[in-house]
Amino acid sequence: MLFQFKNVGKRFGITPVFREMNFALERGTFSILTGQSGSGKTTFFRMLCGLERPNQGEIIFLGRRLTQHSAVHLKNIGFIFQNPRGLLDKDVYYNLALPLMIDGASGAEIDKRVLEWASILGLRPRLKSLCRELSGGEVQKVEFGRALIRRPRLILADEPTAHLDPVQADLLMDVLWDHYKDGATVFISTHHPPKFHHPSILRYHLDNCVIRQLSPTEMGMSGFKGDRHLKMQEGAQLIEKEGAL
Amino acid sequence: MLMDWAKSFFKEAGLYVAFILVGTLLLLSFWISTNLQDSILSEFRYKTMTLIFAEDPSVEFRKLVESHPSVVRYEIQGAYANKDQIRRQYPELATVVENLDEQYFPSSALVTLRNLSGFQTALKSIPDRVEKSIVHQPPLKIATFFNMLLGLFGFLWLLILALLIYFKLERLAVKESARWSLMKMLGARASQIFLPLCWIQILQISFGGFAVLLLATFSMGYLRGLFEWNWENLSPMIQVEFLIGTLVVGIGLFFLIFSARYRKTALG
Repeated sequence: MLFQFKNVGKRFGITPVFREMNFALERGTFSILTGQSGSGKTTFFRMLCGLERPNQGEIIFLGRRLTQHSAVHLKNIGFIFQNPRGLLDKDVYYNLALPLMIDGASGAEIDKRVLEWASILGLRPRLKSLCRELSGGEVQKVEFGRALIRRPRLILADEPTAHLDPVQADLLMDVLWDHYKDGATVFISTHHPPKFHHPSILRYHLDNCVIRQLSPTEMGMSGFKGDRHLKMQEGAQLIEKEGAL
Repeated sequence: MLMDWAKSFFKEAGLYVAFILVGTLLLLSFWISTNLQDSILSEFRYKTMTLIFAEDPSVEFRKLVESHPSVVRYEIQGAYANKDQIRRQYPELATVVENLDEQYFPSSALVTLRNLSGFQTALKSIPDRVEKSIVHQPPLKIATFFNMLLGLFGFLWLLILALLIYFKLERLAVKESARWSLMKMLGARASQIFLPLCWIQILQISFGGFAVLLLATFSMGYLRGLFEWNWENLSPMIQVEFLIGTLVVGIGLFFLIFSARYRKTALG
Protein backbone atom coordinates (compact mmCIF):
# COMPACT_ATOMS: atom_id res chain seq x y z
CA MET A 1 0.00 0.00 0.00
CA LEU A 2 1.45 3.34 -1.07
CA PHE A 3 -1.16 5.81 0.14
CA GLN A 4 -4.03 5.26 2.48
CA PHE A 5 -6.64 7.87 3.40
CA LYS A 6 -8.41 6.95 6.64
CA ASN A 7 -11.70 8.80 7.31
CA VAL A 8 -10.20 11.96 5.88
CA GLY A 9 -12.30 15.07 6.11
CA LYS A 10 -11.41 18.42 4.60
CA ARG A 11 -13.28 21.68 4.56
CA PHE A 12 -12.51 25.24 3.65
CA GLY A 13 -14.36 27.41 6.15
CA ILE A 14 -17.80 25.86 6.41
CA THR A 15 -17.65 24.32 2.92
CA PRO A 16 -16.82 20.61 3.10
CA VAL A 17 -14.62 19.18 0.33
CA PHE A 18 -14.35 15.63 1.66
CA ARG A 19 -16.30 13.77 4.32
CA GLU A 20 -14.86 10.72 6.03
CA MET A 21 -13.16 9.66 2.84
CA ASN A 22 -11.36 6.32 2.65
CA PHE A 23 -9.05 5.71 -0.26
CA ALA A 24 -6.07 3.48 -1.01
CA LEU A 25 -3.49 3.79 -3.75
CA GLU A 26 -1.59 0.60 -4.46
CA ARG A 27 2.00 0.44 -5.58
CA GLY A 28 2.57 -0.07 -9.32
CA THR A 29 -0.82 1.19 -10.49
CA PHE A 30 -1.85 3.68 -13.13
CA SER A 31 -4.75 5.63 -11.66
CA ILE A 32 -6.84 8.42 -13.08
CA LEU A 33 -9.06 10.63 -10.97
CA THR A 34 -11.83 12.52 -12.73
CA GLY A 35 -14.46 14.90 -11.50
CA GLN A 36 -16.14 18.11 -12.40
CA SER A 37 -14.45 21.47 -11.95
CA GLY A 38 -14.64 22.43 -8.29
CA SER A 39 -15.25 18.87 -7.14
CA GLY A 40 -11.98 18.88 -5.13
CA LYS A 41 -9.55 17.10 -7.47
CA THR A 42 -6.79 19.62 -6.91
CA THR A 43 -7.40 19.65 -3.14
CA PHE A 44 -7.18 15.86 -3.13
CA PHE A 45 -3.98 16.06 -5.16
CA ARG A 46 -2.50 18.66 -2.83
CA MET A 47 -3.32 16.41 0.12
CA LEU A 48 -1.45 13.57 -1.57
CA CYS A 49 1.54 15.87 -2.02
CA GLY A 50 1.36 17.03 1.59
CA LEU A 51 0.54 20.61 0.60
CA GLU A 52 -2.84 20.48 2.36
CA ARG A 53 -3.55 18.83 5.69
CA PRO A 54 -6.84 17.13 6.42
CA ASN A 55 -9.13 18.57 9.11
CA GLN A 56 -9.84 15.05 10.33
CA GLY A 57 -8.58 11.53 9.75
CA GLU A 58 -5.08 10.72 8.59
CA ILE A 59 -3.11 10.07 5.43
CA ILE A 60 -0.67 7.17 5.59
CA PHE A 61 2.21 7.04 3.11
CA LEU A 62 4.41 3.93 3.06
CA GLY A 63 3.14 2.85 6.49
CA ARG A 64 3.74 6.18 8.22
CA ARG A 65 1.78 9.37 8.56
CA LEU A 66 2.55 11.68 5.66
CA THR A 67 3.66 14.43 8.06
CA GLN A 68 6.24 12.11 9.65
CA HIS A 69 8.23 11.75 6.44
CA SER A 70 11.32 13.88 5.94
CA ALA A 71 11.75 16.13 2.92
CA VAL A 72 14.12 13.56 1.39
CA HIS A 73 11.21 11.24 0.53
CA LEU A 74 10.14 13.88 -1.99
CA LYS A 75 13.10 12.82 -4.15
CA ASN A 76 11.19 9.65 -5.03
CA ILE A 77 8.11 11.54 -6.15
CA GLY A 78 7.65 13.39 -9.42
CA PHE A 79 5.15 16.22 -9.08
CA ILE A 80 3.46 17.75 -12.10
CA PHE A 81 1.21 20.67 -11.21
CA GLN A 82 -1.62 22.29 -13.12
CA ASN A 83 0.13 25.64 -12.78
CA PRO A 84 3.81 25.36 -13.69
CA ARG A 85 6.26 25.72 -10.81
CA GLY A 86 9.35 26.17 -13.01
CA LEU A 87 11.82 29.00 -12.67
CA LEU A 88 10.87 31.45 -15.39
CA ASP A 89 14.11 33.43 -15.15
CA LYS A 90 16.23 30.33 -15.72
CA ASP A 91 16.76 28.50 -18.98
CA VAL A 92 15.26 25.14 -19.90
CA TYR A 93 18.54 23.35 -19.23
CA TYR A 94 18.71 24.63 -15.64
CA ASN A 95 15.07 23.74 -14.98
CA LEU A 96 15.57 20.20 -16.24
CA ALA A 97 18.92 19.77 -14.49
CA LEU A 98 17.85 21.09 -11.07
CA PRO A 99 16.69 17.73 -9.59
CA LEU A 100 19.96 16.09 -10.68
CA MET A 101 22.00 18.96 -9.25
CA ILE A 102 20.17 18.46 -5.94
CA ASP A 103 21.07 14.77 -6.08
CA GLY A 104 24.71 15.70 -6.64
CA ALA A 105 24.99 14.07 -10.09
CA SER A 106 28.17 14.72 -12.08
CA GLY A 107 28.22 17.32 -14.85
CA ALA A 108 28.52 14.65 -17.56
CA GLU A 109 25.59 12.69 -16.12
CA ILE A 110 23.47 15.84 -15.94
CA ASP A 111 24.34 16.73 -19.55
CA LYS A 112 23.47 13.24 -20.76
CA ARG A 113 20.14 13.03 -18.96
CA VAL A 114 19.07 16.57 -19.81
CA LEU A 115 19.80 16.04 -23.50
CA GLU A 116 17.97 12.71 -23.44
CA TRP A 117 14.86 14.26 -21.89
CA ALA A 118 15.01 17.36 -24.04
CA SER A 119 14.97 15.04 -27.08
CA ILE A 120 12.05 12.97 -25.76
CA LEU A 121 10.00 16.10 -25.09
CA GLY A 122 11.05 17.96 -28.25
CA LEU A 123 12.77 20.72 -26.25
CA ARG A 124 16.31 20.32 -27.57
CA PRO A 125 16.30 23.49 -29.70
CA ARG A 126 14.96 25.44 -26.70
CA LEU A 127 17.52 24.31 -24.12
CA LYS A 128 19.16 27.72 -23.84
CA SER A 129 15.87 29.66 -23.88
CA LEU A 130 14.56 31.19 -20.70
CA CYS A 131 11.36 29.57 -19.51
CA ARG A 132 9.55 32.90 -19.70
CA GLU A 133 10.17 32.90 -23.47
CA LEU A 134 8.42 29.53 -23.96
CA SER A 135 4.80 28.84 -24.89
CA GLY A 136 2.44 27.42 -22.23
CA GLY A 137 2.73 23.98 -23.77
CA GLU A 138 6.52 24.07 -23.78
CA VAL A 139 6.57 25.18 -20.15
CA GLN A 140 4.33 22.21 -19.34
CA LYS A 141 6.81 19.93 -21.10
CA VAL A 142 9.60 21.37 -18.96
CA GLU A 143 7.47 20.53 -15.92
CA PHE A 144 7.19 16.95 -17.19
CA GLY A 145 10.91 16.72 -17.80
CA ARG A 146 11.80 18.09 -14.38
CA ALA A 147 9.36 15.72 -12.65
CA LEU A 148 10.51 12.62 -14.52
CA ILE A 149 14.23 13.13 -15.08
CA ARG A 150 15.06 11.28 -11.85
CA ARG A 151 12.84 8.35 -12.90
CA PRO A 152 10.81 8.62 -9.69
CA ARG A 153 8.90 5.60 -8.40
CA LEU A 154 5.76 7.67 -7.84
CA ILE A 155 4.36 10.30 -10.20
CA LEU A 156 1.57 12.60 -9.05
CA ALA A 157 0.13 14.78 -11.79
CA ASP A 158 -2.62 17.37 -11.51
CA GLU A 159 -4.17 18.27 -14.86
CA PRO A 160 -0.83 17.61 -16.57
CA THR A 161 -2.13 18.15 -20.09
CA ALA A 162 -4.41 21.12 -19.46
CA HIS A 163 -2.28 23.53 -21.50
CA LEU A 164 -1.55 21.18 -24.37
CA ASP A 165 -3.07 20.35 -27.72
CA PRO A 166 -4.32 16.74 -28.14
CA VAL A 167 -1.20 15.54 -29.98
CA GLN A 168 1.18 16.93 -27.35
CA ALA A 169 -1.12 15.69 -24.57
CA ASP A 170 -0.99 12.18 -25.98
CA LEU A 171 2.79 12.37 -26.27
CA LEU A 172 3.13 13.25 -22.60
CA MET A 173 0.59 10.62 -21.57
CA ASP A 174 2.73 8.09 -23.46
CA VAL A 175 5.71 9.20 -21.41
CA LEU A 176 3.75 8.61 -18.20
CA TRP A 177 2.56 5.24 -19.50
CA ASP A 178 6.16 4.22 -20.25
CA HIS A 179 7.07 5.06 -16.68
CA TYR A 180 4.20 2.96 -15.43
CA LYS A 181 5.38 0.05 -17.59
CA ASP A 182 8.82 0.45 -16.01
CA GLY A 183 7.27 -0.13 -12.58
CA ALA A 184 6.40 3.37 -11.41
CA THR A 185 3.11 4.27 -9.77
CA VAL A 186 1.24 6.98 -11.65
CA PHE A 187 -1.67 9.00 -10.30
CA ILE A 188 -3.30 11.58 -12.56
CA SER A 189 -6.05 13.97 -11.61
CA THR A 190 -7.76 15.36 -14.71
CA HIS A 191 -10.98 16.08 -16.49
CA HIS A 192 -9.34 15.24 -19.80
CA PRO A 193 -8.59 11.52 -19.34
CA PRO A 194 -6.30 9.88 -21.90
CA LYS A 195 -7.94 8.45 -24.95
CA PHE A 196 -6.56 4.99 -24.51
CA HIS A 197 -7.64 2.27 -22.25
CA HIS A 198 -6.07 -0.67 -20.59
CA PRO A 199 -7.64 -3.00 -18.05
CA SER A 200 -4.96 -2.21 -15.50
CA ILE A 201 -5.83 1.49 -15.48
CA LEU A 202 -7.80 2.31 -12.35
CA ARG A 203 -10.34 5.07 -12.72
CA TYR A 204 -11.78 7.04 -9.84
CA HIS A 205 -14.45 9.67 -9.78
CA LEU A 206 -14.80 12.45 -7.26
CA ASP A 207 -18.31 13.73 -6.70
CA ASN A 208 -20.24 15.17 -3.81
CA CYS A 209 -17.27 15.02 -1.39
CA VAL A 210 -16.79 11.29 -1.98
CA ILE A 211 -14.23 9.45 -4.12
CA ARG A 212 -15.13 6.06 -5.56
CA GLN A 213 -13.67 3.64 -8.04
CA LEU A 214 -15.63 3.34 -11.26
CA SER A 215 -16.93 0.00 -12.40
CA PRO A 216 -16.45 -0.88 -16.07
CA THR A 217 -20.09 -0.13 -16.82
CA GLU A 218 -19.88 3.30 -15.22
CA MET A 219 -16.85 4.35 -17.15
CA GLY A 220 -18.80 5.28 -20.21
CA MET A 221 -21.07 7.47 -18.11
CA SER A 222 -18.80 9.53 -15.96
CA GLY A 223 -16.03 11.49 -17.47
CA PHE A 224 -15.31 9.18 -20.41
CA LYS A 225 -18.14 10.11 -22.71
CA GLY A 226 -15.74 11.49 -25.27
CA ASP A 227 -13.63 8.36 -25.24
CA ARG A 228 -14.99 6.81 -28.40
CA HIS A 229 -12.41 4.03 -28.31
CA LEU A 230 -13.34 2.78 -24.86
CA LYS A 231 -14.05 -0.93 -25.00
CA MET A 232 -13.57 -2.91 -21.88
CA GLN A 233 -12.42 -6.48 -22.33
CA GLU A 234 -11.38 -8.50 -19.34
CA GLY A 235 -7.77 -9.66 -19.55
CA ALA A 236 -6.90 -7.75 -22.66
CA GLN A 237 -3.32 -6.47 -22.66
CA LEU A 238 -4.02 -3.36 -24.59
CA ILE A 239 -7.43 -2.70 -26.03
CA GLU A 240 -6.97 0.28 -28.19
CA LYS A 241 -4.99 3.37 -28.28
CA GLU A 242 -4.86 6.56 -30.13
CA GLY A 243 -1.96 8.83 -30.89
CA ALA A 244 1.57 7.86 -30.08
CA LEU A 245 1.06 4.95 -27.66
CA MET B 1 12.10 48.33 -8.74
CA LEU B 2 15.23 50.53 -8.69
CA MET B 3 13.81 52.37 -5.69
CA ASP B 4 13.30 49.12 -3.80
CA TRP B 5 16.83 48.03 -4.65
CA ALA B 6 18.26 51.39 -3.50
CA LYS B 7 16.24 51.20 -0.27
CA SER B 8 17.46 47.72 0.62
CA PHE B 9 21.03 48.62 -0.45
CA PHE B 10 21.19 51.67 1.83
CA LYS B 11 19.51 49.78 4.68
CA GLU B 12 22.05 46.96 4.49
CA ALA B 13 25.01 49.29 3.90
CA GLY B 14 23.95 51.43 6.89
CA LEU B 15 23.68 48.37 9.10
CA TYR B 16 27.06 47.14 7.90
CA VAL B 17 28.72 50.46 8.77
CA ALA B 18 26.93 50.40 12.16
CA PHE B 19 28.18 46.84 12.69
CA ILE B 20 31.78 47.99 12.11
CA LEU B 21 31.43 51.11 14.29
CA VAL B 22 29.73 49.37 17.21
CA GLY B 23 32.21 46.49 16.92
CA THR B 24 35.03 49.06 17.20
CA LEU B 25 33.40 50.66 20.26
CA LEU B 26 32.98 47.19 21.78
CA LEU B 27 36.68 46.42 21.31
CA LEU B 28 37.71 49.84 22.62
CA SER B 29 35.62 49.51 25.78
CA PHE B 30 37.02 46.01 26.25
CA TRP B 31 40.56 47.38 25.85
CA ILE B 32 40.00 50.23 28.34
CA SER B 33 38.29 47.89 30.78
CA THR B 34 41.15 45.37 30.54
CA ASN B 35 43.71 48.13 31.12
CA LEU B 36 41.79 49.27 34.20
CA GLN B 37 41.63 45.73 35.53
CA ASP B 38 45.30 45.09 34.89
CA SER B 39 46.61 48.29 36.41
CA ILE B 40 44.43 50.06 38.94
CA LEU B 41 42.08 47.28 39.98
CA SER B 42 44.75 44.62 40.43
CA GLU B 43 46.25 46.86 43.13
CA PHE B 44 43.01 46.43 44.99
CA ARG B 45 42.82 42.70 44.67
CA TYR B 46 43.29 42.75 48.49
CA LYS B 47 41.82 45.28 50.90
CA THR B 48 44.29 47.92 52.03
CA MET B 49 43.97 49.70 55.35
CA THR B 50 45.88 52.67 56.75
CA LEU B 51 46.06 52.91 60.53
CA ILE B 52 47.14 56.09 62.29
CA PHE B 53 48.27 55.60 65.86
CA ALA B 54 48.28 58.00 68.76
CA GLU B 55 51.69 56.64 69.76
CA ASP B 56 54.26 54.32 68.23
CA PRO B 57 52.75 50.88 67.54
CA SER B 58 53.18 48.40 70.40
CA VAL B 59 54.93 45.04 70.30
CA GLU B 60 51.47 43.42 70.38
CA PHE B 61 50.55 45.19 67.18
CA ARG B 62 53.77 44.07 65.51
CA LYS B 63 53.08 40.50 66.66
CA LEU B 64 49.53 40.75 65.36
CA VAL B 65 50.50 41.84 61.82
CA GLU B 66 53.30 39.27 61.81
CA SER B 67 51.06 36.35 62.73
CA HIS B 68 47.51 37.17 61.59
CA PRO B 69 46.51 34.98 58.61
CA SER B 70 44.59 37.83 56.92
CA VAL B 71 47.65 40.02 56.58
CA VAL B 72 49.34 39.78 53.20
CA ARG B 73 51.95 42.45 53.88
CA TYR B 74 52.41 45.46 56.12
CA GLU B 75 54.53 48.53 56.43
CA ILE B 76 54.96 50.46 59.68
CA GLN B 77 56.23 54.02 59.53
CA GLY B 78 57.35 55.87 62.61
CA ALA B 79 56.84 59.61 63.19
CA TYR B 80 60.24 60.49 61.74
CA ALA B 81 59.68 58.46 58.60
CA ASN B 82 56.31 60.17 58.03
CA LYS B 83 57.85 63.59 58.59
CA ASP B 84 60.56 62.73 56.08
CA GLN B 85 58.06 61.50 53.57
CA ILE B 86 56.02 64.71 53.75
CA ARG B 87 59.20 66.73 53.42
CA ARG B 88 60.09 64.83 50.26
CA GLN B 89 56.56 64.95 48.92
CA TYR B 90 56.21 68.70 49.32
CA PRO B 91 59.71 70.12 48.83
CA GLU B 92 58.37 73.70 48.83
CA LEU B 93 57.35 73.14 52.48
CA ALA B 94 60.63 71.43 53.42
CA THR B 95 61.85 74.20 55.73
CA VAL B 96 58.48 74.47 57.50
CA VAL B 97 58.25 70.73 58.02
CA GLU B 98 61.86 70.61 59.20
CA ASN B 99 61.15 72.97 62.06
CA LEU B 100 58.06 71.08 63.27
CA ASP B 101 58.41 68.73 66.22
CA GLU B 102 58.02 65.01 65.52
CA GLN B 103 55.05 64.77 67.88
CA TYR B 104 53.00 66.39 65.13
CA PHE B 105 53.72 63.45 62.85
CA PRO B 106 51.93 60.34 64.09
CA SER B 107 53.09 56.81 63.44
CA SER B 108 51.15 54.86 60.87
CA ALA B 109 50.82 51.40 59.34
CA LEU B 110 49.71 50.35 55.86
CA VAL B 111 48.30 46.82 56.03
CA THR B 112 47.21 44.74 53.02
CA LEU B 113 44.56 42.24 54.01
CA ARG B 114 42.77 39.19 52.71
CA ASN B 115 39.98 39.44 55.26
CA LEU B 116 39.27 42.94 56.50
CA SER B 117 36.63 42.16 59.15
CA GLY B 118 38.74 39.37 60.72
CA PHE B 119 41.66 41.75 61.14
CA GLN B 120 39.45 44.55 62.49
CA THR B 121 38.13 42.18 65.22
CA ALA B 122 41.69 41.13 66.12
CA LEU B 123 42.75 44.79 66.24
CA LYS B 124 40.30 45.44 69.09
CA SER B 125 42.15 42.95 71.32
CA ILE B 126 45.41 44.99 71.44
CA PRO B 127 45.97 48.03 73.66
CA ASP B 128 47.09 50.45 70.87
CA ARG B 129 44.92 53.51 70.43
CA VAL B 130 44.08 53.90 66.77
CA GLU B 131 43.35 57.54 66.00
CA LYS B 132 42.00 56.81 62.55
CA SER B 133 41.66 53.89 60.22
CA ILE B 134 41.09 54.28 56.50
CA VAL B 135 40.02 51.41 54.22
CA HIS B 136 41.14 52.09 50.66
CA GLN B 137 38.44 51.24 48.07
CA PRO B 138 39.20 50.42 44.44
CA PRO B 139 37.54 52.70 41.83
CA LEU B 140 34.70 50.20 41.41
CA LYS B 141 32.34 52.72 39.85
CA ILE B 142 34.66 53.25 36.89
CA ALA B 143 35.03 49.49 36.49
CA THR B 144 31.24 49.02 36.70
CA PHE B 145 30.75 51.81 34.17
CA PHE B 146 33.13 50.17 31.69
CA ASN B 147 31.56 46.76 32.28
CA MET B 148 28.13 48.24 31.57
CA LEU B 149 29.52 49.94 28.48
CA LEU B 150 30.97 46.60 27.38
CA GLY B 151 27.61 44.89 27.92
CA LEU B 152 25.73 47.64 26.09
CA PHE B 153 28.04 47.63 23.07
CA GLY B 154 28.01 43.81 23.07
CA PHE B 155 24.21 43.79 23.00
CA LEU B 156 24.05 46.50 20.32
CA TRP B 157 26.64 44.70 18.25
CA LEU B 158 24.68 41.44 18.40
CA LEU B 159 21.44 43.25 17.59
CA ILE B 160 22.96 45.01 14.58
CA LEU B 161 24.52 41.76 13.33
CA ALA B 162 21.15 39.99 13.68
CA LEU B 163 19.36 42.84 11.85
CA LEU B 164 21.98 42.89 9.10
CA ILE B 165 21.56 39.15 8.52
CA TYR B 166 17.77 39.32 8.84
CA PHE B 167 17.33 42.06 6.22
CA LYS B 168 19.80 40.41 3.88
CA LEU B 169 17.95 37.09 4.13
CA GLU B 170 14.58 38.79 3.65
CA ARG B 171 15.86 40.41 0.44
CA LEU B 172 17.27 37.09 -0.75
CA ALA B 173 14.07 35.26 0.19
CA VAL B 174 11.96 37.61 -1.92
CA LYS B 175 14.31 37.12 -4.87
CA GLU B 176 14.84 33.40 -4.45
CA SER B 177 11.54 32.20 -2.96
CA ALA B 178 10.46 30.44 -6.19
CA ARG B 179 13.76 28.55 -6.41
CA TRP B 180 13.81 27.66 -2.70
CA SER B 181 10.21 26.48 -2.90
CA LEU B 182 10.93 24.35 -5.97
CA MET B 183 14.08 22.91 -4.44
CA LYS B 184 12.14 22.08 -1.27
CA MET B 185 9.57 20.27 -3.40
CA LEU B 186 12.35 18.37 -5.14
CA GLY B 187 13.59 17.10 -1.78
CA ALA B 188 16.64 19.34 -1.40
CA ARG B 189 18.12 19.45 2.08
CA ALA B 190 18.08 22.89 3.70
CA SER B 191 21.89 22.78 3.78
CA GLN B 192 21.97 22.73 -0.04
CA ILE B 193 20.52 26.22 -0.02
CA PHE B 194 22.14 27.34 3.25
CA LEU B 195 25.78 26.54 2.48
CA PRO B 196 26.24 28.58 -0.73
CA LEU B 197 24.64 31.57 1.02
CA CYS B 198 26.72 30.92 4.13
CA TRP B 199 30.04 31.30 2.26
CA ILE B 200 29.04 34.78 1.11
CA GLN B 201 27.98 35.61 4.66
CA ILE B 202 31.28 34.35 6.08
CA LEU B 203 33.16 36.61 3.67
CA GLN B 204 31.03 39.61 4.59
CA ILE B 205 31.39 39.05 8.34
CA SER B 206 35.14 38.38 8.06
CA PHE B 207 35.62 41.59 6.11
CA GLY B 208 33.58 43.47 8.73
CA GLY B 209 35.63 41.86 11.53
CA PHE B 210 38.91 42.94 9.89
CA ALA B 211 37.54 46.45 9.44
CA VAL B 212 36.64 46.54 13.16
CA LEU B 213 40.17 45.47 14.14
CA LEU B 214 41.73 48.04 11.83
CA LEU B 215 39.54 50.86 13.08
CA ALA B 216 40.04 49.80 16.72
CA THR B 217 43.85 49.74 16.31
CA PHE B 218 43.75 53.20 14.78
CA SER B 219 41.48 54.50 17.59
CA MET B 220 43.71 52.95 20.29
CA GLY B 221 46.72 54.76 18.82
CA TYR B 222 44.75 58.01 18.94
CA LEU B 223 43.67 57.44 22.56
CA ARG B 224 47.26 56.67 23.60
CA GLY B 225 48.28 60.07 22.27
CA LEU B 226 45.35 61.74 24.00
CA PHE B 227 45.78 60.23 27.49
CA GLU B 228 49.30 59.66 28.77
CA TRP B 229 49.14 56.37 30.62
CA ASN B 230 50.85 53.02 30.65
CA TRP B 231 48.45 51.46 28.10
CA GLU B 232 48.79 47.75 27.46
CA ASN B 233 48.41 46.56 23.86
CA LEU B 234 45.36 44.53 22.87
CA SER B 235 46.96 41.10 22.53
CA PRO B 236 46.92 39.38 19.11
CA MET B 237 45.22 36.42 20.79
CA ILE B 238 42.27 38.63 21.76
CA GLN B 239 42.11 39.94 18.19
CA VAL B 240 42.02 36.42 16.76
CA GLU B 241 39.42 35.41 19.35
CA PHE B 242 37.33 38.43 18.39
CA LEU B 243 37.45 37.45 14.71
CA ILE B 244 36.58 33.81 15.40
CA GLY B 245 33.85 34.82 17.86
CA THR B 246 32.36 37.21 15.31
CA LEU B 247 32.31 34.45 12.70
CA VAL B 248 30.81 31.85 15.04
CA VAL B 249 28.11 34.24 16.30
CA GLY B 250 27.42 35.46 12.75
CA ILE B 251 27.08 31.96 11.31
CA GLY B 252 24.97 30.86 14.29
CA LEU B 253 22.61 33.82 13.84
CA PHE B 254 22.52 33.26 10.07
CA PHE B 255 21.63 29.60 10.58
CA LEU B 256 18.85 30.41 13.07
CA ILE B 257 17.29 33.14 10.93
CA PHE B 258 17.64 31.07 7.74
CA SER B 259 16.02 28.01 9.37
CA ALA B 260 13.06 30.10 10.52
CA ARG B 261 12.71 31.66 7.04
CA TYR B 262 13.10 28.34 5.19
CA ARG B 263 10.42 26.70 7.35
CA LYS B 264 8.03 29.38 6.12
CA THR B 265 8.87 28.70 2.45
CA ALA B 266 5.95 26.97 0.77
CA LEU B 267 6.47 23.51 -0.71
CA GLY B 268 6.24 23.85 -4.45
